[in-house]
Order: sequence, then C-alpha cells, then structure tokens
Amino acid sequence: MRHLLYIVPILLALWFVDQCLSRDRSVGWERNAMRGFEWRWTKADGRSVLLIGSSTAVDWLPPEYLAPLLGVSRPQILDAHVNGCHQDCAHAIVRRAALEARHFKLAILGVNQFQQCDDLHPKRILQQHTLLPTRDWPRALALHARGEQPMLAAGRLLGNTLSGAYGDTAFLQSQWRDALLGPRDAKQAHRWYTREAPPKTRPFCDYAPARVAYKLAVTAALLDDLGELSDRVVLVLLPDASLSQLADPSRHAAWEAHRAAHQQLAASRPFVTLIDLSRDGARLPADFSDGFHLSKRGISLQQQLFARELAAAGLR
Amino acid sequence: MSFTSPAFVVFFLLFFWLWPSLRGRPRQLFLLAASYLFYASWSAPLLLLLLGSTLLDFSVARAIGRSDDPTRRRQLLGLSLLGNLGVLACFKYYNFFADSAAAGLHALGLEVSAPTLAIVLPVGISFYTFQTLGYTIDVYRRNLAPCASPLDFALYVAFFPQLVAGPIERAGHLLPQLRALSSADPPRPDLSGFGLIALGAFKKVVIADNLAPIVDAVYADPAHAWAPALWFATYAFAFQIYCDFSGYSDIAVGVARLMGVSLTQNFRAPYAALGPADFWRRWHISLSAWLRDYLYLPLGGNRSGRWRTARNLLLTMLLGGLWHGAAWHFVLWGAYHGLLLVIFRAGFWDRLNTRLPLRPLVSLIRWFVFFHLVCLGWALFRAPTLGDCQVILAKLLDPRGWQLGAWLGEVEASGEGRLLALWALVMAMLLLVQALGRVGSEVWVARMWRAPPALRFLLLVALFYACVLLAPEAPQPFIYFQF
Repeated sequence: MRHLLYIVPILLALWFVDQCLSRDRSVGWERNAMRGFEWRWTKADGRSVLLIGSSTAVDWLPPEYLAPLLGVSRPQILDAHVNGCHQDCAHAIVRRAALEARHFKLAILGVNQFQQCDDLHPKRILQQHTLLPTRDWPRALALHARGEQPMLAAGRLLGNTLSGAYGDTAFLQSQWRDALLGPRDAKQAHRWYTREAPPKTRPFCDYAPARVAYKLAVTAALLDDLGELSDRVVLVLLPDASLSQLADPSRHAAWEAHRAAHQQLAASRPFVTLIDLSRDGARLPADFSDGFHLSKRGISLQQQLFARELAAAGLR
Repeated sequence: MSFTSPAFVVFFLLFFWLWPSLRGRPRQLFLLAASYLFYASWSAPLLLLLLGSTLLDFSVARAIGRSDDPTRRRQLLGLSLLGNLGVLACFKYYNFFADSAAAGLHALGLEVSAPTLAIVLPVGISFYTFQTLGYTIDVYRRNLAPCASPLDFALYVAFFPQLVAGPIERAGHLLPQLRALSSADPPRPDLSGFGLIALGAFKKVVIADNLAPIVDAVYADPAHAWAPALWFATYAFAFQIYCDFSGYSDIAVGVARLMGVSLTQNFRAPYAALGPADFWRRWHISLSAWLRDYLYLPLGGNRSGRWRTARNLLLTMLLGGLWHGAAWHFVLWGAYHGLLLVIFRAGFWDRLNTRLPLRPLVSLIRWFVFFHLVCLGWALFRAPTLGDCQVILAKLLDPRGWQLGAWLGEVEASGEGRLLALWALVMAMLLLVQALGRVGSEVWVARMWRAPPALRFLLLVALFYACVLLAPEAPQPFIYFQF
C-alpha cells in the first residue's frame, strides 16, 4: 500500500494542475467546444428534432434549410453536435438524453467513413468521459471491450478522469507552440528538410474488421438507444474526398464494406432509415474544403441529394 | 501494452494494488500470471513460443546439470542452441536470408524466387532468447547450478518489466532475487523506482517521441533532403534512440525496484564516451556484456594476437548488428562499430592524451570526434535500406553539398526555425549533461531521492505532468521492441 501513498497524491496533483490550466475558459478548446453544446442542450427542452454527430454531420444542415424540409419550425430543431464528436461521444449524449428522459420525433445521426477507424484520439476520450453519465461507465467499457485495444481505451478513460488533462494535451501543445514558436504554415513546413514537398496524406479507414468492430458496436448501441428516445431515426452516411479515388481497390473495398455494414445495422432496426449520401452527391476534391468538410458547392450538392432521399423515404 | 500507454497505467495500478497483499508462492504465481498477461497483450498465440523456450532451457539445463559425460553435455547444449537460435532464425531471419540469397543469385544471373514466410516477429524474442541461452551456457560451464523450480525459471524468462526489451539479465543475478520473492522475508520495495519510472517516461514521451517526427520526415526521403537537415536529423536520432531505449530501461528498472528486484544498469551516459570500447561499456551494457562473455571471449578474445583479435571483434559486432534486425544496414552498422573497435585498439587514440600537453582540450576533441563517429553509425542504423546508406553518407560527408546558407534560408521560410533551434538547444543540453555528468539515470535518481521529500514529490509531479502535457498526439512505439 505504500505505493499508493505516492500514486494517489501524484494523481491529485495532476488533477489540480489541470484545473488551473484548462478550466479557466481561455485554455482548453476541446472542453470549451463542449460548453457550447452544454449551453444549447440545457436551454433546449421539448424539441422534436435532434441533430447529432460531429461538425461534418451538421454543418450542411442549418435549421433554416432543415426546418422547411421537415415541416417544423426552426426552434423545434436541437443541434446537439460537438466538433469531433464521433460515435462514442454521440452515444454518451444519447445516454445523457435517456437519463433526462427526453423524447424526439426524429433524430438525425451522420457518420463518416474515416470515423470508423479513429477511436483512440485523446479528444474522443475527453468527450466521452465528459459527456457520459457515470452510471453508464460499465456500458462504455463493455463497448470498448469490442475494440482492438480495450485496455488502452479503459486506461485513457481512467487517466482522463483522474488527471483531467489528457484530452487537452494536443490543444495545449499547439497553443504553446504558437505562443513560443509562432503559428505553423503547413504548406511551407516541409521546406526545412526537403527540396520537394511530400505528397499529402489524409486519414483513411482501411475498414479491417478488427479496426471497425468497436465503432460498429457503438453505432448499434447508439441506434438502439436512439430508438428508445425518438420515434424515427435517420442514419446518414456522409461522403468524403476519398470517394474521388474509388479506382483504388482498397478505397473501393472500404466504401463497400462501410455501406454494407450500415445497411445491415439499419435493416435490423425497423425504426431506422438509412440515407446514403456517398453515392451520388459530393465526391470530387472541389466538393470538400479539407477532405471531409464540404465546400459551398459540396453543401449545395449534398442538400439537394438529402432532400431527394428524405422524400423517397417518406419523411418529408 | 507499452510502458507509456494508459493501458499499462491500469495494469500497473492493479498489479501494485494486489502485490503487497500476497506472500510466498502465490506472490510468485501472481507475478508470473501478470507477466504472461503483459506478453499476451501483444499476441496471445506467441506466448506459446515463450513457454516453449522456457520449457526447453529448463529441461536442457537440468539434464546438463545431471550429466558428467562431456559429450552428452555438449549435445544438450547444442540442442538448446539449435532450439533457441532455430526459433530466432525462423521467426526473425528466415525471410531476410531467403531474400538475400535470391538477390545474390539474381546478381549471378540466376532467377530464383525464394519462398517467404508470412509470420509476425514475436515481440522481445531477441531479448528472452539471449537470456535463456545465457542461462544454459552458464550451467554448461558450471558457473551456475541448474534451477530446480520451474516457477522460478519461468519467472526469470518472463519477468514482465524486462521481458520485451531487456536489460538482458544473467541468471546468477536475477534468479536468486526472484526466488527470494516467495521467501518469508521478501525483499523490501525500493520506492526510488518511482523516480526512475518518471525519468524514463519523460525521456521517452517528451524527448524521444517529440524528436521522432523530425527524424522520420528527413529519413523518409533522404535523397531529396537537405544535407544540413540530414545532419540535424541524425543528431536528433542519436538522442531519440538513446532516450527511447534508456527511457524504457529506466522504467523497467524502476518497476522492478518497486517489487524489490534490482535489474542491471543498461546505460551510463553513452555520449560521454571517448572511444568505441568506452562507448560499448556505456551503451546497452547488458547486450555488450552478453556478446563479450558468450561470443567474443569464446572466440578467443584478445589472447591470440592482433589479427585474431580484430577478427573476433569484427565477428562479434557483425552479429551484434544482425541481432538488432534482419536487414543489411544493421549488419553494416555492426561492421562499422567493429571496425572502429579494431582501429581504435591500435592505441593511437589513447596515446593522444599522454603525448600532448593540453590534456583537457585533447579530451574535448576526442569526445567531439567520437560523438560524430557514433552519429555516422546511427545514420547507417536509421537508414531505411542499404541503398539509402550510400546516399546518406555521401550527403553527410561531402561538405561541398552542404549549402548551409541556402538551407538556413529555407528554414526561415518554413517557419520551423524556432522549433529547430529549441530542439538544438535541448540536444546540446542533454549532451552537456552526459559529457560532464558521465553517470546514468540511477545516479541522477539517487541524487533526486536524497532531496527533501517535498522537493522530491514536486519533481515527480513535474516529470509526470510534463509526460501528460507534452506527449505528442500520436504515441510512438519503443524502437527496441522491433528487435
């Protein structure tokens, strides 16, 4: 037990330092992004439409566009997105809604392909830990057990809760970097080491079954819980710039696996309607501003397709 | 489950929560189960290989101990060598030798497609194989009595703090300590282990992992890299690999200390070395001592004349290089260090001090020159392929292509100048600490542990918090795990 005499005060001290550093509303962008969500969430009771997911799921769905499409007034739409909020974070929000006994007529959840392979980013863990009601921790850990590295995920969840700092590290580093070293120009940064700019690489989910097992398990749990909260659930498959590279067999196979997995999830849940925006909508690099978020042209294409698909599904 | 992963934090907390409450055999059984769990977190099927190696060397050593017939003893030792080196040859070197043979035949005009094996390199195989092999050789030489308890021996092979990347422990040093864990009066935990863990984690997470992207960027495409950038990345790699590997060793030694077990010191300020022999007494000490005792000395060491000594040194270092990885650039790195040892053995280097009056200045020059020779070796070690070694050395060693002024202009335009200056400063400080201190982490931590408790605690918190806060977003695996 003498070991704990060292470990516990160290963890407490880490927690204290973190309180000083990242709870002052000026540092800790990742936390502050959630404060925006908190504000919208607590103000908005009795809404009928729930928008959930990351920024890519909602930044093309402004209330002024969506409200007339669904035939509801703008204040009826609750935008519960959080930047970078993937399935586990969305699940935490849904568990919270269940705890507060909220009810909706329609819930719209957008998922990206690249999200399927990204489950250990410190930001995701911060969001999950912050938003998940304590009583649902065992549920989250059980879902993490379906992932590639359950111990790692559990450790991060624990580490984040105890030290509080884990999820903010990348942000604090980048802030300090900017303050100490000046802002970084990603387009010029290579010049110190090479005469030729290296090719750009973007995150790509290879859709290997082991890598996506956790995310599909969370999506399934998320849809089931949403089904309890909402009369109807719309699961939207969002496009990204990798759709312009379908000639590459690995990209093609990844997209096909992504669609098939979500079709299966929707087919086994009668309350879920799948809207696949990855087939005929935005797909060219010009349709995206950074590979994932849509450009003006991409937004226009996506809104048109969404409206058509919604009508075809009888939800308009 | 890397030492610097949150998963290990959970494992560590659970382990040390239960550890103090156990006594006797259950304590050893618990440690063994934890060690196997630790190894299985990488690959459960490959645990069978570890068990096989344990069983083989335990049985062979017992049989050697029982026999007085020299022929039978030799045969049994041969069996152990065949088993251990066979596993290494199969899992680590088969594809390398098959590809090399095919390439050699291709050069002679013969087209042969060598069959390759689609197998994963078992983590830590080079470490635990050498450890068990060392034990059997010690028993064969009658330096050690064979271990009577399978549990003690299984623990000696699988002891989790040093299982996957050393230090490579001698049975005579580790086995009695592991045996003592089940005694009525087990060894008391040494809490200075926390200091070593914190320092090791700091070295790995804050220094090595943040230097990694700088090194990787340059070495990804050395042909198009600026020559001064290649020098900078080579210096960075020298500190990355030191902080990565010695950081791991510090954590291993620290965790073992919390159980009351003392592991071998693996590093002692290697960049303070004034020559190659001095360097190998400071770098990866447990491996160089193993190679000395089980390879170099049996080959004849330095007792059979100058040429045989040179041959023995070269052979030992070639195999040392190959031990690091199944690739020709590792062999080249080993050969390079072998050549350095042979050349420096001629004695001119050591005579410099006595022949010249300005001894401190000469020592400084010796240190500076030798540090750069080590860095050139690291360039060979880090090169992606053997072909790249030639490009890299040509760029590093040809001052006409350095274009320092043009490069500084590019650094300015890239906006990374201050970051590089910051890292240059950090590396210079690390070098200075090693050159002046000339001692390893254990000594620094012992000094830290002599400080007043409040200061000691603050230092620990600062080190841990720096790890949490300054860790790069993408954690890097330990470099030596691949060996």
